[in-house]
Amino acid sequence: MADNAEGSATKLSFKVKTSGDGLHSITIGEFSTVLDLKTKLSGEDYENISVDRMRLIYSGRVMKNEEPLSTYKIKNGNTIHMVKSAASNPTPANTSAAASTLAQPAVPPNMSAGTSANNPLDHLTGARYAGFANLPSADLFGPNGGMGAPPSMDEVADMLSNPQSAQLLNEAMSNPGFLDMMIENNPMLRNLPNAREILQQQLPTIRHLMSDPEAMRNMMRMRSMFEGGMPGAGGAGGAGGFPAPGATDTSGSNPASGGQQANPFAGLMGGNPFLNPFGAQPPSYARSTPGTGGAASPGAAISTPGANTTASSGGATAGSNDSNTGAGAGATGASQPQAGSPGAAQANPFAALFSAMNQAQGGAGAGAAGSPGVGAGQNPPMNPFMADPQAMQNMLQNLGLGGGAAAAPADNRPPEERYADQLRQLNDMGFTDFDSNVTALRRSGGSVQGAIEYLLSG
Amino acid sequence: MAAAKVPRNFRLLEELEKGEKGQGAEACSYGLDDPEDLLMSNWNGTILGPPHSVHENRIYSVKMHCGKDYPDKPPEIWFRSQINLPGVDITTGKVDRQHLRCLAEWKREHTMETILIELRRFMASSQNKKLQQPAEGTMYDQEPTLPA
Repeated sequence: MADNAEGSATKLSFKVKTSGDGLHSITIGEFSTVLDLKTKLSGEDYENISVDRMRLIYSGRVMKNEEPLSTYKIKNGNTIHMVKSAASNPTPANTSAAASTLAQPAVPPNMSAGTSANNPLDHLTGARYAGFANLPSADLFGPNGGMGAPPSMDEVADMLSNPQSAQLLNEAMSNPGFLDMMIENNPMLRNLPNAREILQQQLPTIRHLMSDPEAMRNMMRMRSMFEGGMPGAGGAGGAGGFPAPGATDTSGSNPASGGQQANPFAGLMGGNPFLNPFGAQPPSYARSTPGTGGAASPGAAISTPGANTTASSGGATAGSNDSNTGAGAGATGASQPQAGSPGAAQANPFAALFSAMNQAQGGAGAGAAGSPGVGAGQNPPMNPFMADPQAMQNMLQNLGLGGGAAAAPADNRPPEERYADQLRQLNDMGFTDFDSNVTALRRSGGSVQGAIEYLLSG
Repeated sequence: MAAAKVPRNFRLLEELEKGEKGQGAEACSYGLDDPEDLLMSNWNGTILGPPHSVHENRIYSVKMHCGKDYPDKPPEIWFRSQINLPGVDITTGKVDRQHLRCLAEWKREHTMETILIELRRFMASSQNKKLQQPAEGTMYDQEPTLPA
């Protein structure tokens, strides 16, 4: 993040508000020109649009490219408005979702345009990735063009250990549009206001989990165990490549799985927002690898049947889940293969995840993997993860924090940003003290009504 | 509500802060022409051309002058960017008070933001949104003659 100011120049910190909903905090030397600022804003981290489409306005003045920022006497913490002009010629629709409110390209970028409004992988059918990856040989697809049984988990893991696939995966994961798609495709993530930030912060971890064959193996081992505890569900998946129900791999000799009528993990798998991202990711990953239809995708084959079958049975099972013992047993079972597996460290987040879920679900406090004090205060009766964004944030954080650290505050945006609307309303009503407004809003959880009551009574 | 009258400078400071921090409406921006001016008389504003009109994607600059009587009397408004709009003088860009409801029926509660927003709405109104406009970026030659 180099800026072009001389070392002695004072740094200016200000916000740039875009005509979408974007808000960027920028720090730059005061002798940088407006053009420097625009160049910085045009980067992938920010707006990802070309400099000449950007117009900046501060204090009622349009900022001129060649002038230094000091001309405009911007004070720290103030806001510059950015206006995006229409593209004079269509640019690739690689803008992030924040920017997607404006500037739709006039010409479809490729033949798959229009299939999905928010699918950044559209480009994969374009020329951008041509020659980037070798097309897979026909035998990768298996008989019937890959429509047969999905490959075994070991095959998937082997494929993942191929550096080329890993590279492609990384490429996809570092595309902000891809994250947007993940979030868009997942209702639970969509409801989470800062899902995007969380995902971005945790990106290295997720990427690691997705691309490390060992982590993948661990996950699958756990998965197959869960499936084992869910008679019939695995069969419904119709996946020949999957271990048959009950006949899971030997490492997962789960004592809790046999004949449990209420397997808490069935619900967890169904409603588990953590696994869902993975459910969403591998298909697109697969699409990116061979550059052909998703049917050949091993990743998709692994994760989608699970998502489908468990999701359908999950709600019901979770509803009938009343056995704390089952939860505890399940947790211990889950931790077994990890201990024996070489990638135990990678598996830890999951252990924490599941134990946190157990706690929240039944108040069982299974604690098999030393849950980081999450969910201790929450004792909702039934699967809370379907509705409770807080719990989900906790889980996402666990995922990144490896289960050991305390959960960071969930929403780390500054209050003036988070409560912008509410603050405006309060201001309009005559409550002008910023600090007490924020305090009140915090107490009321963002409800203006509650904040007013607090302000009036306090 | 017999609230105390907010004195001119307090009121202008309030507006200045709102403008600089970008708390107001997104389509309008305003700030002091000269941040050192203690009287806070001369202001710049921009109006982002309303969508679905000829003004779309254009930025219009205006100048505003808040006299000593502000906010009891409305400020004077000039367009700096050339615009073809009823009530805007073709040579100077001065906005005729009678053409804008919020100026003609000025109230103390009105702010410069009120004016900018109403101007923008006026530009987007059905009778004005299709008016032929001068090339983007052309300015009025004549600097408005401001009272000292």
